[in-house]
Formats: sequence, C-alpha cells, structure tokens
Amino acid sequence: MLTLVMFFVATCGFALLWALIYWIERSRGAQ
Amino acid sequence: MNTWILPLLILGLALVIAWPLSRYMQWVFDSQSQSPLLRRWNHWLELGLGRSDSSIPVTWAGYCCSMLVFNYGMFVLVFAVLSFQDYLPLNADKKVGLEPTLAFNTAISFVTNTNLQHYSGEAALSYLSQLSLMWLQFVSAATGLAVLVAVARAMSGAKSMGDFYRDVATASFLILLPLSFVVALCLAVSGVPMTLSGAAEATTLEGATQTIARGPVAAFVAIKQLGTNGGGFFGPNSTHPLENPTYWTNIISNFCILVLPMACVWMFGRITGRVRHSHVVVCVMGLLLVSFVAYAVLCEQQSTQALANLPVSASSNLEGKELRFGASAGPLWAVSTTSTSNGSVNAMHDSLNPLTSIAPLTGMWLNVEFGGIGVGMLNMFLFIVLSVFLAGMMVGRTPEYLARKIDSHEIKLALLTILTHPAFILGGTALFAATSWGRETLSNPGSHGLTQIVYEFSSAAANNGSGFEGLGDNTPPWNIATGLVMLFARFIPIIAPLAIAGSLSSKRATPEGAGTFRTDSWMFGVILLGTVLIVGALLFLPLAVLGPIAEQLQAAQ
Repeated sequence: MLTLVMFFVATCGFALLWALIYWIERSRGAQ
Repeated sequence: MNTWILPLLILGLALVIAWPLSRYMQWVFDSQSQSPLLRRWNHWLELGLGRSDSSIPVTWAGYCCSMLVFNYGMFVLVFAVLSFQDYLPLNADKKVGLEPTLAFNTAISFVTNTNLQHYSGEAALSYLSQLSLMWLQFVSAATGLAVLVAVARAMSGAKSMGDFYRDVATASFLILLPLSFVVALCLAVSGVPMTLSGAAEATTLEGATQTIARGPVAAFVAIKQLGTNGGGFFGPNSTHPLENPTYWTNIISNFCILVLPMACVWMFGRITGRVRHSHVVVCVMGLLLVSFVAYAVLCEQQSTQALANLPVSASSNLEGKELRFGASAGPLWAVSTTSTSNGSVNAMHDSLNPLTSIAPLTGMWLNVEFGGIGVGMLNMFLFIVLSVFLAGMMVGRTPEYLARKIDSHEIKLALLTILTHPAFILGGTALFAATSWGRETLSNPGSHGLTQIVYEFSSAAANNGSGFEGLGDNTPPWNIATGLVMLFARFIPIIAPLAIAGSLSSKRATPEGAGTFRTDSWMFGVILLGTVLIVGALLFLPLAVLGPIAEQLQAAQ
C-alpha cells in the first residue's frame, strides 16, 4: 500500500512540473 | 609545497583535457556534420527513433515535455526494480525489496543525477538494482547534457530546439559510454573489482570467516564520476578500498569529476559561436573553484580539536581521511565533488574542520563552479541573464544577451528559479531543525547538528548527493522530504533556462553596436562573479554563522 502511495506522490510531482511548463508558456503568451 | 602538487595536477589536467573534449562534444551534436561516422550514427538514430523528418521545429515546451516523459518513465522502471528486487533475477545474495519511502528516495535520487544514498549498496541492493542505477547514471547525466545542447542551439539562432531523444542517445553512446569504458578499464587494471559473482568468502589471519562484497564496481565507478553522479557501489563510496584502492585511482577519479563539467562550458561557447564568452565564464567558475580548493586545503592544515593533546596534534587534520591518498586529497575532493554536483566522497565530511566545511557547503549553495554535467552551465546561464540585466540597468541600456534583448519575462523566470534553490534549503532546514523529524536523527547537538541538517538539504537541492554523515537519514520524513526537494530542484532549473532560451530565440537578433554591453570582456566577468556571490551566497550567510562558524568559535574557547 505504501509503495502505491509513494508512486502516487512521485507522479504528482512530475505532474506539477508538467503544469509548470504550461504555466510558463501561458504567461509568455499573455504578455 | 607537496600539499599543492595534487590540486595543481588534477585541476590543470582537467582544464587541459576539457578544451579538446569540448570540441569533440560540439562535433557529435552537430546534426549537419558531413562526417561519414556521424551521418551513419544519425541514420541509425532515425531508424531507431522512427523520426525521418527532422525539419519540423521543436519548441522549448515540446523539448521539455519529452524530457519529463522520459525521466518519469525512468523513475517508474527503477522504482519497480528497487521495490520488487527479491522477485527479479541477478540477486545472488538474496536481497529483499527496499522499504517504499527508501525506494522512492533512491529512484528519484538517481533519476535526478543526485545519487543521495540513504542505504549501503552492498548490503541493500541486488546486482540488477545496481545495474539499473548504473543505467540511470548514464541517462540522467545525458539528460543534463542534452538540455544544455538544446539551450545552446536556441541561443545560436537555430529554429528548432532539436530532438530530446536523439540528444540523449548521442550523449549516452558517443560521449559517456566511450569515456566510461576507458575509465572503467583503467580502474579495473588498478584493482577495482568487475564481476557478477556473489560476495567472496575469505579466512582472516585469526581464522575467522569474512564476507567481502564485490560486483561490477569498475563500470559503476567510471560513470559515477564522469556523469557527476556520485552514488557509490559501496556505502563508504570512494573511501572504500575496492572503489578507490590507490593514489592513482584517486587521481583518475578526481580528474573525471571535473573534466566533463568544464568541457560543457566550452561546448556551450562553441555551439553558440561565442568561444570568448565561454572563456570568461570558465575564468569565473575556475576562480571560484580554485579559491575554494585553496581555502579548504589551508583550513585542513590545522589538526582537529579531538587530537589537541596527542603527539599527532602538529599534523594536519587526519581525522576521517584515507591516508593512502595523501593529506590534501580529502579537502580537494570535498570541494571538487560539491562544486560539480558529483557527491562522491573520499573522506568523511563530518570530520572536516568546521571552517573547512564551509567550502563544500558553499559549493552546493552556489552550484555554478562548473556544476553538474550540463546543468552547471544552465545554472550559470540564469546568473548570466541576471548579470546582463543588472549591468544594463546600471548604464541605462536595454539588456542584451547574445544579440537578443532581455525583457521582464526572462528576468522573472531567472530570478524565481535562482531563488527556489535557497528556498528549498532554508525551508527544509527550518522545518527539520524545529521538529523531531530532524532533531531525533542528529548525532551531534548544537551547531554541528544544525550543519548536518543544512548539509543534507543543500546536498539534495544542489542535486549533489554527498552526505555529511552522522545523520540518521533513512527515515520516512527524510526520505520523502529530500526526495521531493531533489525532484523539484532538478527540473525547475532545467525547465526555466529552456523557457528563457526559447523565448529569446523567438526574438529578432539585434546586431551588436558600440552601446552593446559585451559579454566577452573582463568587466562582464567581474559583474558575473559579483552577482553569483551576492545573490547566490549572501542568502546563506546566517546559516554559515549559526553552523560551522559558531562551531569553530565554540571549539576555540
């Protein structure tokens, strides 16, 4: 169970980084 | 005088070899090269990767997404291997799967090129796990190099960032693999084991039976050093006599720590067509590195307080040193490994004199004195953008870098990214110093204990991986916290330079005129050095005072 939790935590971390790319892209486009 | 021979030899040798190596690196990444070898390599890549049309331009976001997907895939694979190694082959010594938070920490640690190890490899990992970590040591280093090449391409005016998978394959197969093969061969000849047999049984002089761990150590150590990885096959890392047996293996290893990060800076200059600019950057980085080495070697000339009343008190600080390498090898390696984001150790950093320990800490706080493979220059790229902006503001001109005008978008990205580094270190230290998560894992009270916590977070945030030791860091809070810090501290400083380069490359190039602030002048070097020291180091001064400096003052009383 804890293995799945840690896998989920890492997946969320990568998802946040993926969101950062799109946030930067949008903030550039908004200028 | 003898004290300085080893530092001069290693630093000089690395500089001399890095220059032609940078030429080779530029050559292999040149997709337009007419060399028969490279044309055949590019043909194989097209066959292997299934991409025949390289004319479609790749944006920075596309390049970033490919990089993240690839790294996530690596994490999933290695996390599974570490968690279920007891069900997998190449497990001669019947090792069980890692505890989940430790598997998370270890997989993230190697994916991010950090190699922070909260375990002893010879005791906890099967050979398949060790080999999967060795594979990560190649591809994580290749990731950093690929991103630097993409940024350099964009700054040179290329329409496309390139293909991430093609760059990673080129970095792995044409740079890291051949170099690692040569270094592994030198290490194996010097006595480092290279075998897939299980642990050896030996009978000691007293008649007892001793189990001696071994494995594919030479191959592991070669890429560990060349790829600024630092994760050891054995728990004691390069202090272990089977990882670093002799004076010569120590020289080879320390040389390998420095050579590729140095070559990366010149490679950036060659790809962008601004070699004089890269000379200035190398000078700034080199000045910082040499200063820290000299400072650390001098500070370690004094004996530790623990030996104050013993007959050896007149010697240098011999505590925690491997004497087969010589007296200056410990502080030289400590600075080399922390300045280049490597993280391997050949001496106990916990045993350095308090003032000496400021040198490796500052190496990780700045993270630009050549830095990790690829990412060291990327970190410096952020400081360069900031320096150009500050210089432009001082003289009232629009800041330009490599003929592209810098505006608020790039400055915000650079500054925010630079500030995430201290935020991870200071925030993490505050949290763990204030709670039982950190306090109950310390082996020393007071200032030294604080330094242990600071060092661990600095090592994670700089993707360094070295340990101050003395800290009981294999606990769920440490594993999770440092795992998350490593993840974000690795990829935010990779994403931001790609975004800045992508943004700058989309602007029209402005020809340099008399009013352009030149980035290949000594004045730029001074401003860059000042920016790195003021923005990068001053934020950490309170921690240095509360930790190592306070400890030194207490010891002197």
